[in-house]
Amino acid sequence: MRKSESKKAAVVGGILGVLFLISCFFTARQFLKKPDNATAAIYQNGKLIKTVSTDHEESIRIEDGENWNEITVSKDGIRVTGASCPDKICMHTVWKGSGSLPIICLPNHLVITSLQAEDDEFDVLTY
Amino acid sequence: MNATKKTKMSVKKMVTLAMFSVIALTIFIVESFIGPIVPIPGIKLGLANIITLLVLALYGPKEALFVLIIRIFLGSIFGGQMVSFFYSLVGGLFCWLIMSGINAFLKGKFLTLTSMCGAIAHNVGQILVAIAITQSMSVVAYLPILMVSAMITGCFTGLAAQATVGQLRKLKNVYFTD
Repeated sequence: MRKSESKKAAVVGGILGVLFLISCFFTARQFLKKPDNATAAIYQNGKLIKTVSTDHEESIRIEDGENWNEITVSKDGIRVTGASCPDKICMHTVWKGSGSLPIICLPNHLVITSLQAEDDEFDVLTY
Repeated sequence: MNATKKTKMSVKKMVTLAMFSVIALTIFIVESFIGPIVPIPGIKLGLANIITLLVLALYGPKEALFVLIIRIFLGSIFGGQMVSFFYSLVGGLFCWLIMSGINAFLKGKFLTLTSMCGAIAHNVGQILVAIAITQSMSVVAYLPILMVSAMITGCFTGLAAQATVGQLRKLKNVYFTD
């Protein structure tokens, strides 16, 4: 009985070990990968609000009712410099290009990430 | 008589579970005051999960769910963030479901492994809510780092629960029985 439990624990432990290694690999890849220059897209509630390129400096204020985020664009990347959210976690991430972790402000439903292919096509067709 | 005894929760058990809920709530609120350990959304110590694990090991899944729901509900009221209620609820339910399954599979032993699996499930649940709220799949980019953090923090909470459960099992026979 005890032996079978140890075997089961070894199976669970093995699966966790493999998952840990895979996750470590992808995490390391994400942090070590040199971000490519790309156009960033600011999404709120899943809708594309604005596209920005890091080749110039710009300040943007995104408002959604009482919620707001102040975004600063520079050659070093894109960062949120002010936000109405309580935790301000979004202010700690810098988006440097495609491959960077997206900036996410969960309370304000804001995502800053690389321009998605389908939105890119949409832009070309629309404008 | 026996039927009544089976369907109704004894006062002693109810008080004990209420006490566990209060401990979980206190840990949850103290942890929210400490703030995020790493400035990455979704990463937290999850110390309140120690209590869910203990109740799961000492009583069972039904009682653990009882303590979990009370802690999440009151935690969101005291914490003051409504958005965090959905993250906590879905994450917590995923965590409870997986921990109950793994705990039954491992026959209540190896709480550290149960805790690690629960922490992963919690973060997967939170990612799903984040996708639904932001309506953006790019949130998935956080999954690998959240998995790594879940396994590390889950290991610590599991070790804490494992270290406590032996003592509580001895006490349970004296104080917590129905």
